Amino acid sequence: MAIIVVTLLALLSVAALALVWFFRGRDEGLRSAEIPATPASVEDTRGSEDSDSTLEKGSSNDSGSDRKAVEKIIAEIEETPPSDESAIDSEYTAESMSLMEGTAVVGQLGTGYDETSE
Amino acid sequence: MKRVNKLLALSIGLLATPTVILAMPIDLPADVLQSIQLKPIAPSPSYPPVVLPFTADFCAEFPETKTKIEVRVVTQGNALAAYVDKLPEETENRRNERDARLEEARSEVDQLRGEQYARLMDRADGDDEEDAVEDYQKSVEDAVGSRRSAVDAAIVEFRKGTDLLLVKRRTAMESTWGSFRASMIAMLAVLETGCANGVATASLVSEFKGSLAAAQAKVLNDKKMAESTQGQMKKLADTQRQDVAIATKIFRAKLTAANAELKQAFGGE
Repeated sequence: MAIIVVTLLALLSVAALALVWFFRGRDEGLRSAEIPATPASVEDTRGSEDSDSTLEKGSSNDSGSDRKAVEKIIAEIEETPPSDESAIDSEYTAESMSLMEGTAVVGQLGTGYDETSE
Repeated sequence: MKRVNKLLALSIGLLATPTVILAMPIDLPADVLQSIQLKPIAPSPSYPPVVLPFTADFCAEFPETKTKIEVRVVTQGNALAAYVDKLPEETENRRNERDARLEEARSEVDQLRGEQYARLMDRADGDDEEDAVEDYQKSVEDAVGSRRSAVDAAIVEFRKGTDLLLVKRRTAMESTWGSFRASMIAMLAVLETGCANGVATASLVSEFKGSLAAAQAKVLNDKKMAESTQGQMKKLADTQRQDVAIATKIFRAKLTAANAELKQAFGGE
């Protein structure tokens, strides 16, 4: 009887250990499959300016890399549209539209006299 | 097996329900159908037409016709007067709106450039490079300022020219209105006299049509004048566009020079 009880307890212990091992393994697997805190896409959207130079300022070895970063910023400034290059187009469109509104009002003058009721 | 059969039956039921619903005849009440029918969109004239009795009753109904025509002429005249009166204020308001939009766009770009200068300064190592960034910022800001002044001047010039055109246009519109009104009043007088003197309806109708056509021709002529004014406005705009293009070219040259200097300061070629 005692042998049976001991055997059963041993089997239960083995089963418990097996369960613990199984769940731990599953958690590890899930954890490794989790989305990283900083997604790759966010990294991608950051300017690559930092990757072109060392972050530490003043190092004699990073002057070349900093130059590249500076060139990139300069290019950005150069590519930024002046924001007022189409100002005259806007002016002409608006004033012209206003003019034509008046023409439409005048154009109403000769209309609305039904000549078809003969 | 029974469980499998149940699941199978449930799946078939779920799949078949939308098909059955779609296949059912739509039996909506008539008033609901009426309310969702698409109505043809008819062109809606600003004024309903004055129906003229081109019949033997022309003179009998003339007083009523005359009143209708007078009301029409006055209503249209009022609409024109209202447009002309509010034109300066409308023009001013629209210009202010455009100015505000331009200012906003410029402000956004300024902010962006400010951030870019800060990033450049972060890259500067030592006094020489920091001085170079400061010089660069000053050069770019001077170039931006010059270009903006040129654009602002071009806008002012365009508006000055446009104001002159609008004054002329206003005079032309008022003249067209006055002329049209006079034609219509004269026409009504002729018709009234004709009716009083027993002139045949056919002659009166012919008189009416001729006078109306002449009055309408004046209105059409006004449209041509407006198109001509628009052409002059376009020339004004083209001139100012050229000025803006020159200012932009100068700006680009200054920017390129400033860029080269900064690159050199950062150990470039």
